Amino acid sequence: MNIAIDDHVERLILDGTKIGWHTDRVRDWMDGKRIAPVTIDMALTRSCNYGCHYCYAMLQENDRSTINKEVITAFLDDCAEIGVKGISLVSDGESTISPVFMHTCKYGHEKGLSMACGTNGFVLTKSKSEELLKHLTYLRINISAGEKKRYAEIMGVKEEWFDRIVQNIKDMVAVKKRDKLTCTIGLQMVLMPEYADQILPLAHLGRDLGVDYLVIKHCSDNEDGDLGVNYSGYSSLYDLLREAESLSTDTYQCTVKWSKIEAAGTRSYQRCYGAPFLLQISGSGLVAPCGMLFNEKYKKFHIGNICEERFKDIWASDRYWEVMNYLASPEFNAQKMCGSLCLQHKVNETLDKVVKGEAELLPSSGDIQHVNFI
Amino acid sequence: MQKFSYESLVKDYETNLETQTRGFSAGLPWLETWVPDDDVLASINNLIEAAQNGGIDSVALSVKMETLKLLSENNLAAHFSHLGKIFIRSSEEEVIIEISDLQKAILFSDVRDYYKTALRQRHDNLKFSLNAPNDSVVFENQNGCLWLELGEQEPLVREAGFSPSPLCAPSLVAAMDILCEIIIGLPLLEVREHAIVKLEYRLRNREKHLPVQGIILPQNADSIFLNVSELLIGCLHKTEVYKVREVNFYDPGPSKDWLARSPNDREIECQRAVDSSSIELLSYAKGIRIIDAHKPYAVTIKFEGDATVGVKRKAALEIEKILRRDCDPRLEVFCLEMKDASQLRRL
Repeated sequence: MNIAIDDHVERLILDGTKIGWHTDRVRDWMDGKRIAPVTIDMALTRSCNYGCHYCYAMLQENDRSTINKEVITAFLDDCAEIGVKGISLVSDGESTISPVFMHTCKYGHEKGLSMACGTNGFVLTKSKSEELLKHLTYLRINISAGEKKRYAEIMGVKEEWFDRIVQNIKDMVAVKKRDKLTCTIGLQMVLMPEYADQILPLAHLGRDLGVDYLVIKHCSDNEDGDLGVNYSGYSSLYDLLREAESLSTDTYQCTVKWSKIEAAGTRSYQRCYGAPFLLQISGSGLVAPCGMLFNEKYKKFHIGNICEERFKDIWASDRYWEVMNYLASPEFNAQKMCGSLCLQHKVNETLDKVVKGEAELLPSSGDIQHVNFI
Repeated sequence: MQKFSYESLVKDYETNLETQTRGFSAGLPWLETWVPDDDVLASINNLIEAAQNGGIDSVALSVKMETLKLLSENNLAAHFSHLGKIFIRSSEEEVIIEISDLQKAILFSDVRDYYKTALRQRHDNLKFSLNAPNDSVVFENQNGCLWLELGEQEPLVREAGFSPSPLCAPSLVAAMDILCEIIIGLPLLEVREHAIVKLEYRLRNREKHLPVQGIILPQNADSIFLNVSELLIGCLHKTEVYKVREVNFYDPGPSKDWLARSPNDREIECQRAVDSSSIELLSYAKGIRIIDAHKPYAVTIKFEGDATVGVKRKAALEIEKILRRDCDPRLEVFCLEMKDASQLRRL
């Protein structure tokens, strides 16, 4: 069986992996070379001005350090040097409230890195969007409701903040159009079954606002189920979700991450091979293989902190490769020792099949958007 | 067994470098391929290899304590075990390294040093070198015949064995023997998915240099795993396992013995295991406290004392390895969970 990663009908790959566009790096990895991550997902702070009901960051607390301008500049220099291709500012905090956010996006872009951001969007007023969007590959607004009252309940904020968000998104779309920018502007709904009433209102809102896409995903939970996500509740939403997808147009893509929702939180693989390709860094500066291992309780997997050491030194350290090798060994079982379906999940699925000899990863062809965010 | 002084050999070599021009020699005929190294371990390793290449089967080397610095007997034994049978004696002033079976060990020169020790030791003690019984699933190639006896009720491996051909390399004979041990009792789906990965992991000698700088996979670790795979896959194709589409969720879980113990007993046993490692991991005693073992697969620890964050991180992973070795192979180690500092969020 060959994995035809380029066999997609969507304009954007929102429910899959783009690892097929990085087969040179996969080949190096299979040859046992030390590879730089293709993508690093990080935050500039662990703080947030929202209190979203579903937020995984509640489970990710660790010792905080401050990522200042000096730290992030050195970090971006190191990323460019070792061959990282994309930096997404998502992870476990609201990066837009960090004083170094604008500098990070601008400087990273200048260094040749693809930059992206996931945000609640509250502080991104028009003037900021005018400065910001030209440096980004995509900007994604986290929004799990399409109506004011429910927005306030789910996102843990005042009702009037909904109006600010709507205005900010309108302004982003207008700036993009006016300046003919390539930045993709999208919305992301983290869906818990109890938010079902907001699926269609949000899908309609996205279309009305003129964003490029709305992606609807499952809610991640840790291995102990502390967020209380009821995975069996998703199946009753399938009709609603298909109806939301049917609102897609030529210019608006509404996509459900079916593979994760239908998987009901389970993995087909036990080894974690994806972390060296898609690394995560906490808003505290902590470097860990992934966000699910940020909490202090997973100290055994913590590698270093960019506020204390240069990232390129952390990446080149024996400790980094010791941890990555542990996750790839029979000592680690992702089915038992991880939370439900992580950022690296689709990469893991693909690489696991390749290692088992069940599939051959062929180089994918054709232009694809957001190629450096695998 | 003739005994040589390492320091004397090095001194003679250095003297010869300055006094000999043509026909340079290290001094002894079997040392022709040896060149001393500032890295003592590498130097001794090369010296023993030179003896091996020179046709010597056993050699005893005395090395002064000040030359070896802080290396322990266990470290030394593990470091050279891929070259032959090691016996180490030490006194206050010197260590005597006796190594024998050098010519037997040379038969394993087709695999990386990283895997030689486990293979060599297993080759001296094969357990599954048996002919295939009737009704077993059999696959044969130029290296030999692998057979599996399957369960009647469930698709698992009840018994397994490997009958090597005369051409089969000793390293492969040993690898197949260990593979048989690994797969007996496992469901076929687990064998299909993870047997080779488990074999590779089992053969590692952690005192040696890693076979690759990045992620170790059977595909890049050593060609022996390709030879093992060929036999195993050939055998598995004679079963129905490749038609199975269900997901493999195999996990042996904690052992029955461990499950039967009370949380208090588990805590005590885990504490005993970590106490003996505290100095090695943290440089001081009583640095690790077992807080909780009420879940049979999980242990929560707390570090005490002033070890740095980096040391604690490394120690936490080492503690997991120690507890898996000494208490139960399924244990996971956690540090104390940190609660969300945000006052806005709900948890």
